[in-house]
Amino acid sequence: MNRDLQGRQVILVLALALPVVILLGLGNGAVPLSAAETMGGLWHYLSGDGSSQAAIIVGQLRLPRILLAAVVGAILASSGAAMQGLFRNPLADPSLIGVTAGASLGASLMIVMSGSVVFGYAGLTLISIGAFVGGLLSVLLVYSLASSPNGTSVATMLLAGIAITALAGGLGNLLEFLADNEILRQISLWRMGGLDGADYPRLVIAGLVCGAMMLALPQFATALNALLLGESEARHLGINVARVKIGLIVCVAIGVGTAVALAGTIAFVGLIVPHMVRMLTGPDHRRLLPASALAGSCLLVLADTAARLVLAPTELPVGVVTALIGVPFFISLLRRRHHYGMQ
Amino acid sequence: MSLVKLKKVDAAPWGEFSLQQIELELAAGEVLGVIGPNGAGKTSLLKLLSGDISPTGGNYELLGKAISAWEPMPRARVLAVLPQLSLLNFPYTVEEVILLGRTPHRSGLDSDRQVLREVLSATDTAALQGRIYTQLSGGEKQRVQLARVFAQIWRDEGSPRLLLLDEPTTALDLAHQQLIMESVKGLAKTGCGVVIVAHDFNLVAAMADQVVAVSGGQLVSRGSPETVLTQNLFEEVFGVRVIISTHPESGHPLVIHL
Repeated sequence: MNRDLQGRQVILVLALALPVVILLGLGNGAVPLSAAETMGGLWHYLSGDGSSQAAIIVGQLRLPRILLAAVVGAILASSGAAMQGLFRNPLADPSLIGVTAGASLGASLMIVMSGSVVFGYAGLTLISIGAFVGGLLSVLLVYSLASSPNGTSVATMLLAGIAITALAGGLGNLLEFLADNEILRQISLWRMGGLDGADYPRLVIAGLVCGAMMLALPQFATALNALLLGESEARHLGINVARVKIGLIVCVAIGVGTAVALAGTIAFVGLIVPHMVRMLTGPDHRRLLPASALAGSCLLVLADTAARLVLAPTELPVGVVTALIGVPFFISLLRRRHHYGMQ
Repeated sequence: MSLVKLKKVDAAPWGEFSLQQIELELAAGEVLGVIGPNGAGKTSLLKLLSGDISPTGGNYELLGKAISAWEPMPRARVLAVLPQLSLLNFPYTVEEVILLGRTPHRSGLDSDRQVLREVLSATDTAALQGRIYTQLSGGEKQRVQLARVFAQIWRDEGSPRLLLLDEPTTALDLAHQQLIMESVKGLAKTGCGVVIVAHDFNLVAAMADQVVAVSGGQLVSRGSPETVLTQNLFEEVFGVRVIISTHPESGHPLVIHL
């Protein structure tokens, strides 16, 4: 009862924080803008007059990138929350089902194959497609490895995910080993995750996928709540467990596949954000899923802003920032986990 | 129409037969005790009844309808299961765990809270309501899980219900054992059939209208507590010698271990 109220308050606060964080991101960067300049630039850009310097910086450079960060953060964090529920394991993360490693390998393959032929925008698009397809294929492989006529075992899926991740990692390393320096640098930069390729077409794709996820995932909230008790317990509570598993895995595979394809591998958002949110809202997925999505958005926008600021005008890959900030924070959470009943 | 009807049911969930030629019938409001040594197939029988494992031969009908023909949701409204072990390690509050039992019902918040209040008192968990489940003791967790399955089938919604309990009192102190027994009996009186797997023969003798003994995947004895709980049965099935007496107050059979 108290948690219900607290959960709603958390969602409200996060929903109010997101626009603030976005404005903060719009105003900060290599060229600092005052709040008035930011708002003015944004207003001019949105009203179609994009000629002033502020309008170009805000509207063309920062806005797509920041919105992409928000969308990718929402996808990764809500996927993480869903996977932790499905695997009944608070250490699960969206990459567990092999999607990230597969996408990485797909992208590396594309970089190696297209690197010397296709440049610029076309190359970036090819890499994204390669990543998306690679991610989906490896999830498919993991899922079929874990499925038998008796159903799909999430424990086997976890192990199969680790195996496929290792395999894809090995193949990726082989590619890097054989690649020349220029391509090697491209691959490793892509792996670190970055939002510098953001533009409006990509944002639209990510936004559509994110929107679809935000509509689909809450349908599974009650089922995920019951699943935390155990699979057969959920079945006894009337949940069609097999259907829920497939639905969630498809959602997460498409969502994370898209996120990785457009922004590279961004570490720890999917693992940490649901944890932090669970400390505030409790494990009820009706509150956890939307709150995680909002918190993931805020966090990734902040991390990206930091990535643009720390070494300005050089931009750090955002994946580096999430790992460097996220890991110490996560360790401090681990040390206090008994305070909130996590075993 | 009987609540549960099994005719010559075989089940082989792991390739080998774990249950063979099971014949069973249970009416609404009846309490069935299941006894047997370790590995005899008691839990398999419960899993068969709950639909977790499907029959490889014979017929199992729940409320006159083959178990495989039930959709998950309607089945969950008439059938609740308390497993032997619960591995919940997410920090739900006790109240949240119990309300999960209302998942199959669309009965609205008010009626869910009414059910919550009733099952809290039926399991003496009201004092734990706001506590975090993972921080409870074993016996407290067992009572909360009991409250959850009670909540699932607490109300008579126009159809007989079935409650399956796998060793429901193993972690409970004497006072709570008695409370749970009373609550289960009360639930049975409202038209809920109950199947209890237990190693506590005196609990079974006091609760059950009907007892079955399972051994090697077969039902070796079936009938009233008086006819099943005999010295012969204990020697043949459990390999132990016991004295069968009569409870001085209730008149139920009393099993005395040597």
